Amino acid sequence: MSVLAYSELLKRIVGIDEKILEKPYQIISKHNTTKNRLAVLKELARTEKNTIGRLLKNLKLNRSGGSYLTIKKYFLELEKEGLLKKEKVNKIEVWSFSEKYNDLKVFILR
Amino acid sequence: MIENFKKENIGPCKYDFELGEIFKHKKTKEIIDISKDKFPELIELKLPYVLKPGEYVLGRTIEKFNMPLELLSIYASNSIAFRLGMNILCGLNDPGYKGNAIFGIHNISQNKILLFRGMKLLETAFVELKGDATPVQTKFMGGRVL
Repeated sequence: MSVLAYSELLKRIVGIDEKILEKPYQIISKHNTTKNRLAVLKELARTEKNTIGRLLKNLKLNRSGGSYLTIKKYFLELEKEGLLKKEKVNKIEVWSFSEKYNDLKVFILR
Repeated sequence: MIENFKKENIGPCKYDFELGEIFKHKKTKEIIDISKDKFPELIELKLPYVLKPGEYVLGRTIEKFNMPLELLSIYASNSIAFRLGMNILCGLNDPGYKGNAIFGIHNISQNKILLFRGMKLLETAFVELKGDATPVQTKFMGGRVL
């Protein structure tokens, strides 16, 4: 007889293996993920694909040059780590989570 | 295993339930005799609800179980409940049970306590069983209060 602990509960209730999340968590914590940045990541996970401007607008965050550039810099760092990917659609940069880290996207959303 | 769950309600080795609905026994002059299938009638109360000292209601969780056969869930009172002066009456959740968790809320304090939707009064630990369990057969399946 044994009692299920956090990682097993997470696996059975949410359907996510915590060990898979270790690497993306490391990446996120390495790049100074603030409350606002995490909110932007959550919004990206929710909307699947989006531009930074639209993400900030959805969250009613400041879309001025400084805020936009800070998030862009953050996204570029996460892109280098392979967590996010960007594609150009008619000169517009559209961001999404890379397939490799889909579990993180599911975890953030739930 | 749990429907309508919230990830943040998963604890170190437990899950915190949220209060979804409450019910009160209708007062009757007849004797409650379950051997004759005589159960009290229930009235659903609207949340938020002020629970008066000495008052007893039944709670139904927002979450729904779909218990696998290898697990047993043991309910317990959340610490906030007894800190406020509420006695939470609860038991076990058998393997194979499907439905919401039902529990009793008794205000044993001298104060009025506000009950609201999403209030965390009940928690559960899941125990892995040794051997094969048979699925539970109960008339309360599906989260029936009475």
